[in-house]
This record gives sequence, C-alpha cells and structure tokens, in this order.
Amino acid sequence: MNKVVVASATMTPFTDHYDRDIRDLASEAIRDIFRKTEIERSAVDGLVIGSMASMSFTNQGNLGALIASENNLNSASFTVEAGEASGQAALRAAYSLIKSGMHETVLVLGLEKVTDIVKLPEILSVVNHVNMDSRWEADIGLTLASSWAMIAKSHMSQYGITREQIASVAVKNHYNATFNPFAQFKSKLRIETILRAPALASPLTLFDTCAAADGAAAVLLTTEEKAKSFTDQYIHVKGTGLAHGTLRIAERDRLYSIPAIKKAAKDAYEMAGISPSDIDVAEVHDSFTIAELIALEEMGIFEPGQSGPATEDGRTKKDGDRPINTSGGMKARGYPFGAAGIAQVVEIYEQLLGIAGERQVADANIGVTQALAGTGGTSVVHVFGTA
Amino acid sequence: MQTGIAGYGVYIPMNRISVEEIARVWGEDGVRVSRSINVFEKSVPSLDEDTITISVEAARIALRMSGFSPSSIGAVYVGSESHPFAVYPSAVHVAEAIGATPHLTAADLEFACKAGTAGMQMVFGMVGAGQIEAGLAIGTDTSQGRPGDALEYTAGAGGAAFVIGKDNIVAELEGTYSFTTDTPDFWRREGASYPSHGSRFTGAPAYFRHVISAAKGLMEQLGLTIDDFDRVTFHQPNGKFPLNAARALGIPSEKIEDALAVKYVGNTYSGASIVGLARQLDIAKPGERILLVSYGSGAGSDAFSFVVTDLIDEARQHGVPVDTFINRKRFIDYATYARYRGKIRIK
Amino acid sequence: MSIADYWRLEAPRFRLEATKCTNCDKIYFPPKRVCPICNNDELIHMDLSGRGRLITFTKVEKPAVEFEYMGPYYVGIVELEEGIRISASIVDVAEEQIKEGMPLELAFRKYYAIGDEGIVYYGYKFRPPL
Repeated sequence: MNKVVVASATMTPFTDHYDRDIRDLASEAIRDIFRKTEIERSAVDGLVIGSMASMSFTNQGNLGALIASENNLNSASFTVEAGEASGQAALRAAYSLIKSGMHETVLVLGLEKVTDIVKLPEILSVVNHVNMDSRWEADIGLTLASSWAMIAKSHMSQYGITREQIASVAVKNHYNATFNPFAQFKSKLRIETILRAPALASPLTLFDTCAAADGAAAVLLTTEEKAKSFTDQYIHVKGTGLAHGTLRIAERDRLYSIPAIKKAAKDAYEMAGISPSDIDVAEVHDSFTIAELIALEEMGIFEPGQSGPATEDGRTKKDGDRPINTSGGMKARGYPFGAAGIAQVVEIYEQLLGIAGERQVADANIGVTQALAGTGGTSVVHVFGTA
Repeated sequence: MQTGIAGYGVYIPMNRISVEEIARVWGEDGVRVSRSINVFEKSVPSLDEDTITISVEAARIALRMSGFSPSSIGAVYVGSESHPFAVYPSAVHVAEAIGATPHLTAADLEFACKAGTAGMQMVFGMVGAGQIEAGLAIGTDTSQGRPGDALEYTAGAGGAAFVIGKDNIVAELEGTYSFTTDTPDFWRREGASYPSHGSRFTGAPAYFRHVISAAKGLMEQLGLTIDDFDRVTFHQPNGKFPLNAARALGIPSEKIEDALAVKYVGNTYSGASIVGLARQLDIAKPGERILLVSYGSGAGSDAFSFVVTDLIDEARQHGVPVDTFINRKRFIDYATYARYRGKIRIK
Repeated sequence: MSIADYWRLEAPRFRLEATKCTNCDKIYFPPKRVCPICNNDELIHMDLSGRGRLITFTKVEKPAVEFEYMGPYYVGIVELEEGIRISASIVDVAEEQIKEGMPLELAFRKYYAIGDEGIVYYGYKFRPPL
C-alpha cells in the first residue's frame, strides 16, 4: 500500500490581514510550498481546501475552482467543510484520495478570511450558526461561548478543577507563542488578566477564547515513493480518525465529556498502532481554554480531571513533559478557522523534522493533531510519525 | 343557552418603574404626582415582550381555565393600539401559539383603549348567533407615552384574554350597550411613535361623558339600577378617573376599588378595564353582578353586565390570579426603562 | 432565520410541538419527520407540557448580532417533564434566583427583529413558574 507522507508545510502569519483577500492569502501559502520544495506545480494533481464559512465571511463559494485556477494548478479541486474542523477534515479527504490511488500528490490548503466582517457580533453570528444547531440553538440566542461556559461549569463541578487551572491553558499557549514568529500574539498573559477580562459567558471571559484572524496554511501530501524523488523532509501520516456527536449541547449526557474526540482519537491511534503515552507533541483544539483541557482527557493524554492540574503545573508547556500546542495554539498562534487545522500539521511537521527552532521538543517522533467543530459536533484526529 | 365568559387570563410584564422615579427625572414632586393620579408604579415590558407575547400568555391562561380545546376556538380578536405590526395580525400569532389554527377567523382591532371590549362584543355576538362554539377576545397594550408627558406616569403594559362560549360559563353575559361619538381627545397618527392628547379635554367631554352614558344606557336597557351591581370596573387611565366616574354614578368606591390594578401596573390601555374585570372575577362570589365599562378615545364606551356563576371557584383553580402578576415585580430605574421602551436607540 | 423556515417551525417554536413515532413511541423535539430508529414516517404531533427544570445555565454577555439588543441574558439547558432536554433563554429571573434544579415553565417571547421594517421572530423561552 501507498504510504502517505507530508512532504512540505507552510503558513502565512495569522492576523487581521486587512490588505489581503482570500485569494491573496491562498496564493502566498501556495507560493511558499513551491519555494520550499523542489516540485513543479504540474505535479500536484489534487487540491483539497478546508474552509469553514467563506460564503458567509467573504461571499465567495467554490474555492476549489477559484484557488486552483488563480494559482496555475491543473488539479482536481474541491472544498471540505466540517465547521471549525474543516482544515483537518480536508486533510483526511486528501489522505484518502492518495491512499485509494486516485491521486498521487495533493495540496491541502486551510483557508479563512474572517475580518472582512468588521463587527465582532456579526462574526460571532456566523461562527455560532455554522458550528451549533443553527435552528435550535443559534437562532434562539445561544452562543458557542455560552455552550463552552456550561461545559466549563460541568467540568469544574465534576472534577473539582479551578477557574485558574482553566485560565492556565491560555497562559501556557501565550508562553509557547512567544517562540513562534508566525504567531498572532507573542505576548505573555497572566492568570489575573484573564480572570479580570470582560465576561463572555460566566465563568469564561474574553481572554478564554481567540481573537479574529485571517490566514492560510498549506501542506503537501504525497506518497513516500514520490516524496523521495524531490525531498527528504517528510513525515508520515500514520492514522486518521473522524467522529461526530450531536450539535445540540442539550442532548449531551455528560457536558464535561466530548465523546467525538475520544472516538476520533481511538480510531486514529489504532490505525497508527500507538497509545497515548507514545505521543511526543500534540496540537489540540483550544478555541476556548476549557476545550484544550477536555481534549487532552478524551485523547488519553491525561486521566479525566487531571489536565487542569497538569496544565497549571506547566507539564504542557513546550518544555514540559507533555508539550501541547507548542505553536501557541489557536489562542495565541491565531485562529482563522479552516486554516487552523492545517496550521496544526505545519507545527507537527516542523517538530518531527526537528526544525521548530526555539519551540523544538526533544526527541519528537510521534505527533498528533486534533480539531473540533463547535463543542463536539465533529472531531478529527491525525497521528504523524517520523517513520 | 346563555353566553358568557368561560375562562379569563391576564399577563403583566414583571418590570416596574415607580411614579417617583419618573418624577425625579423631570424634576417634579413624585409624591404629589403619585397622589394626584392615584398610581404608585407601572409595568414595563422587557426588551423581548410586546403586545403579541403578552396576548399569547394571557390567552394560554384563559384557554386553560375555560376547558375548551384549542380547536373549538372559532375566532381570535386582539384589540390594541400597539400591535407590533401595522400589517400582519397579532391575532394570528395568538391563534398559532395556542394551536387553534386553521379553522377560525381572526383579526386585529383598534379603538384606542377599548378595542379589547369591542372584540368581546364581536365574540359574544358570534357565539350567541351560533356561528362559532367559542372565541377568544383579547385586549393588550404596551402603552406609549412621550417622555416628559403626563401620560408617561401611567402608560403601562399588560393585557387580558377572555374565552367566550356557551359552556363552562363562569360569568354569564346579561347584556351589552355601547355609547359612541366622534370626540378627538387622543390620537396617534400613522407612523408616529407617541400619541397626542387633548389634556383637560380628555376628561369631561371624553372619558366621563362616554363612561357614564354607557353605564346608564346599559342599566336602562336591562332595567337595572346601580344598586343591583356588586362589583364595578371601568377603564382606568389613572387611579382617579374611575373613582370620579363611580362617584358621579352614585357607586360606592368599595365596589370599584378591587378593580383598580392601575395603581400597581399603570394604564394598560386596551387591557385596563378588563384587567380590572379579571381582578373582580378573581374575588367575586357566585351570584354577584359585575358592571364593566371600557373607554376608548375617539371616543366610545362599551358597557357589559355579568353575573358570576357557581363554576367560578373551580375554574379559578386552573387560572392565574391578577395578584400573582401584580406581586411579581422587579423595579427598574429610568435609564433601564428608557432602554426597554426604545427611548434610547442603540441601532 | 428566513420567513420560510420561521413559518415552517412555528408550531414547535410557539408551543413546543414535538413528533412521536407511532411504532416505538419515541418523542422527538426538535421534531423529526422520520423516526431514524424505525424508519417510520408516520409520526404524530403532540405539544410538550412546557414544564421542566433547569439543568445548567450561563449568562450571555457577548451576544451574536441578532441578540445584541437584549444582552446580557441567561441561557440554559432545560429538562422537560417528558425527559427531553432543550436549550433556551431563561427570562424573568434574577441573578440571586437562578439556580440549577429550579422549576421552569414555557414562556412566549420575542427572539429578535430584522431592523425597523423587517419581520419579528417569536418563540419559546423559559421562566420561573408564575
């Protein structure tokens, strides 16, 4: 069987790119792939784009055809949408295209242009409607923040974790981001700053979540055989898992747990033949601080209820024993929805190849990415390895 | 078989602003103002409440008390001068919300503060003629009063709904009589946010002439005297007018005092006289006779005579007393009131 | 929301109209057209009681644009007597009064309006029993 590898990875800075359109961001990420890697555009026979809401944000659909034709790519091209998990879902689609033998070399582009909508409440409306049950939650006044707030309350009361432990996720991710030249925020954040920030939905504040950002991230997927013809800088895609849960938070049995993450992780680990203890570095979904804590527990990196104390103790910092979101995560690296899932792969690519500079984790051989749509609608997990 | 009220319900938003708080903003003596109009506080709708939501809530209570099924309701009339839509009836919202659609007629009515009783007359007529088994008449307003105007002290929010039929009657209709003229005491032009009024002209030639004439006309029609009535409710634009009208008719104040919800919830316009009727029905004994006289500027009064039946005690178990709404309150300051009533425009 | 989908959902939004599978008796709210367990499309309509209790809640301090006009406000998860859990706004409740487990009942409220001239959307919210 074909072994699928990531043979190149890049991203634009994630920030409010008021001077760049969605096609500008795409063209810059694609340019960098071909600058970094000795491969011709004509060798790319597939383009899969992960984008969450380009219609709502920029009034542009059919990004597959748009981006391929604008960038001289003669490839089969289409877009994958799975809410906030669109980037990772696109990666899974691209993986299966190559694994099936239908395509040999597929460019996966995570892309989101958010800030053409300049008012935050209007951005929130789009994000809520895409990722929640539009008719039965977003239409009637619930927000993603309020959903995460109720999850945070449930997690706190179930496991006795503290508000400070939840906030420590953001502190840690901001710390990690200070070593990432592409990060949106390279400033440190203090617990008190988070707790005193304007309330979002009690107990969460504005600093428990991400800022609006635009950006693109791209990875080149191909077979190991093909990769060897143009590079030695590649990592293996060893496992993929995708699972869903109900969009409606009211229908979850236990708010402190997100079964879709556990299922996606289990499938990806089994496919890769690894266990959670094998993971050297991981990029997980931290659209809200509490999301990272639950992801780490559902992924088996910590026991239920233990991720809060572990984060507070610094174990998930880039120099801790379980480094998580060394890029700074969505919180500090930046979170242009569809682009974020691919940016996770960019970070793991650099970590496993030992080219992550100041963020480099020692002896990184197994890396994992995890994405989530809403509070558990879709989760996607990928396992990568140096061999 | 006689027609009558089979179920009634009111709804009053829980926000209150005191007359003193309003007076504070306009530099007036709140205690004096409050005493002069006999109103202490008024109800204010929340940002997500309007004539449609209030009407639905009142209708649900009335329907539950009546024992009628939603599908037996053959007419829904909502009288108001604050329908959220100029075109797109409040009445269809109510009909849909109580599950009475589609086999019924419905319409919105407007006759200043008496559109609710106009609807009651229409439903009484249809039920009496055998056109429908039962119908729903509602009077509701989120009353408007221009900031700084005398009306601002009283313009409240609330409504009352009545299921009218021939079965399960808690108050039997003895008769109704109306007194109507063209009297320009109060109006609101199409598109205007606030009503205009004739100040002192709203008294003698308007409110008092119509209320007193309608009451007298009804008594003459039915061969009754004022002593035959145990309880009375009039339109209550403030706490003084109904007492003065009662005095002019020789009605002791004790007979109308229980109806004066206006003191605690303000003038609910189309709801005012009939919230008073509901309050009287909450405490009336079987056999008691109740006089209802509404008043709508422009101008007209509808008078009704009801006799309370033996079913009232049982029926009340399925309703919600007016006092529940009077006592369910949270006070807001003028700034919050200004926001809730759209007097501060944020977009 | 569009007027067409608002219209389509008026019965469930206005009066909690659910559907019930005539084969397995499962009640669906939001209502389904087809019972995915039985593959049965003969579902009957029934209004839920509208009585329930509060499972959990939070206060929305940063509403999306449609609900900005009325922020901040409470939202929560309500478990209805029928055992169905739904999300809703919680109204007419004070900061010191709202707590998990408290009884709630159906209220009819405005969701939001489209500008000054557009449609006004209405539907269920929940409040402490009168």
